[in-house]
Amino acid sequence: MKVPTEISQQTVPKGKLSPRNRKKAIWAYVFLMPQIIVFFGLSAYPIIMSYVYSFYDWSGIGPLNRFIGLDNYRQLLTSDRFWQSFINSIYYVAGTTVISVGFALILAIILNDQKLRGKTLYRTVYFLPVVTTTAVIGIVMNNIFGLNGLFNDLMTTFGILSQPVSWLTDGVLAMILLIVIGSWKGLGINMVYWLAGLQSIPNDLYESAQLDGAGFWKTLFHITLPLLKPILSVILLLSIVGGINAFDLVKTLTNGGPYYQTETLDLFIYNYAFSSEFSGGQTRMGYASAAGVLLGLFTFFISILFSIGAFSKEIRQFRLNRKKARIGK
Amino acid sequence: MKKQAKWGLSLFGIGLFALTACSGEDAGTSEDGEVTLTLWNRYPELRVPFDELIANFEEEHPGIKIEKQDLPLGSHEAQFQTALSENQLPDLFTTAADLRELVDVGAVHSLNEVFTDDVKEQFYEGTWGENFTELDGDVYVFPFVSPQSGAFILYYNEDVFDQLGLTEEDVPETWEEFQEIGSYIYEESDGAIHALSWNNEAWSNEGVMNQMATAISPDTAWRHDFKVGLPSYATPGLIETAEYLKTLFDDGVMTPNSMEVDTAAAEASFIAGQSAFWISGNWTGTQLVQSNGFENWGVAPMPTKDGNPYYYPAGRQVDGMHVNANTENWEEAKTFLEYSLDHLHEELYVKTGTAIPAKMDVGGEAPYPQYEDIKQLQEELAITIPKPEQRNLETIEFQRDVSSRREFTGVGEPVVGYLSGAIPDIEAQLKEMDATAVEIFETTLEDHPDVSLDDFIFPNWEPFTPYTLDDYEELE
Repeated sequence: MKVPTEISQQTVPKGKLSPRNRKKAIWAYVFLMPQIIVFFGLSAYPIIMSYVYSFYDWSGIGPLNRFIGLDNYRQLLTSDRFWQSFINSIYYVAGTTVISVGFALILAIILNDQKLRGKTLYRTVYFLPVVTTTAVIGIVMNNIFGLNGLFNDLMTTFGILSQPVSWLTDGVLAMILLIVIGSWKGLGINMVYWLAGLQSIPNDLYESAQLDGAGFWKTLFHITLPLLKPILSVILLLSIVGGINAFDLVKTLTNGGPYYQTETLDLFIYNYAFSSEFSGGQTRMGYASAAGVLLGLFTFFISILFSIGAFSKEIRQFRLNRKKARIGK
Repeated sequence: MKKQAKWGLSLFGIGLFALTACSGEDAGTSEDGEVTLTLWNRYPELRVPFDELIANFEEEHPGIKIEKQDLPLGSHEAQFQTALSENQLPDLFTTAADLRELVDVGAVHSLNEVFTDDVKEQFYEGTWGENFTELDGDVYVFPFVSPQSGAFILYYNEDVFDQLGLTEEDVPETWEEFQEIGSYIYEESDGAIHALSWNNEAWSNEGVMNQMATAISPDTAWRHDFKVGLPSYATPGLIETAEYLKTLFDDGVMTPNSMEVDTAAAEASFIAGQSAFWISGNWTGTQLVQSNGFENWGVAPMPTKDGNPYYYPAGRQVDGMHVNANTENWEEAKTFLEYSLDHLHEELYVKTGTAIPAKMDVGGEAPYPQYEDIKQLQEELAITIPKPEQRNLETIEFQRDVSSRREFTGVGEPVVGYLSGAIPDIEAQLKEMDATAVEIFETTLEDHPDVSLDDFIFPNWEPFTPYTLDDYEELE
């Protein structure tokens, strides 16, 4: 029997759930519980603890008994190696974002053509690097671009290079190589995002434009690109955050070398948290945690900037509504 | 509804179980009374020999089973740290972690019951030392390898020598001779063979640099000058050695891909005959013979600037096994240690030719003839040097503090940077590091009233002369 809304609102005190809804809520929590436990155990707790560790001189072994306040942060902010890795991360992010997002858009536009034959095959081929393990790509590329690798062999065989090039032991070339391979790796996923955006544009608009005599370029600049703006923010944000967290490719392709010239922030953190005993150093979990906190804050700051950019229209609308409401009062 | 609640709770329970099922489970006593001990091994060269030792032990002690887990060399610290913080350490383990830290957190069991004075006397001089195998006089490490190990030596490929008409007499002793033979090898082989395999690993470059440099600047032993008591990163020895290595690289005496490959790849290139020489430690012999079936090689000291002797600080790093302080099977672990006292050094080191064992007069025969040559070289080159922690235990904490304030560790990384062109002026780089290291050292001294500069000065130390317990006593 359906209970009239008015009656039900009278019988159930304000702010309290009805017995039926309470049961529903309890069940919801029961099913959410495993995920909540996993989240707090494997995400929230380590994040909180990394903030705690960052205030200690702690190797990762034993009790936290050497509180040093902000010393780790002070040392980081005056460390040439930290800033070098920060700048390397910026280079990597900028390079991969520009190349990967740009090329992915071109690819998506081409592959979105309804008349193109075999586009499923092309999409699959371009998406393959995305589903390939990054570490494997790093190791394979390390072999391909080594001094005695396949790339140099081909280049010298065809006379394009007079002698083999040290792609991995020259700081600038190694960084370029990292960016190119990182971009290639992310190309497929960005292409899929762009395709999703392109397919959300109504066909009517294109048909109208065609009737008005607009060609490909006019359609592209006046319809396609303006309507893709919202998704551009999302793609840029995902690409930038992904780039900031570059670790596996860097570790396996250059290992940060030569002499830290391709060491990104993630690798910097790893090296301090789990440095090998062969280097004669000891692990510095506190210091690495401080670097992790700074990296987290930087990522958060970037995300906020993008959110403001992406939702500026909504923010403006919200402020306008609030103003109207005040005037109404 | 009750039924649904039961189902819900069951599902929740299953979820929780699934989450906790991943956590480690203590090995222990089975229903039939068999005790299982867990052992973590971090030494790649001991994987197979350990299996054999364990199999023999289990045959002799049917009530005790040993589950060995081999850890990946490059990332075992992370696994060890996690296990330590979760109180999930195995019964027996090998680690490079600082002994003082392990004792401070109560992670390691005292082994005094096993290592009585009589037993300790069966080991080489220098095996027992503070923050090495002992702390405050208590033993915490079952020592595997003799302190007289670890010196880098020159391996030469006799196949290449035969091919190019070279003999043992041609093995270079000086830098100049090495360059000459390098040019000869390259020209004679039409550029197919280079003189030296090299690699981009910091630890290896660190070892070669610090040892070669002692032939020029003997007062500095592994970046510390024990005459003045201060860190020393910019000695003439270190600077000249770095510049010499750069010359070898630029002149093509080293293989061109040296800065791209790790030690394993560089060693493989030497085995394949792409280079005539390979510089490495005592562990390489067994890898050449056992792992690669390559037997036609010889060993000699590394070439030095004028052919002067060099040395390696004996006992710089301890290799051995700990027992978990929280093990529930101490008696069984002790049984395994006692068995190991009689068999481990022979099985793991002599019979495999992996290294010189810590225990003296061990039986067995090495699988290759060069083992004795390597052993002899190690005994000549690995020489005990002063250890501040032997004099004052407080220096352990002090040195840990110094390390945590210093951003760099050694000279291995800068040298790789210099060879690959990332660092244009190695002398300026090392001097900068030196100034920073000294400044940190002196600043840290102010925070440690129990430590003084005198703890690091050893006026009665003579380089190339083993520093003994009597020498420490003489200082007091």
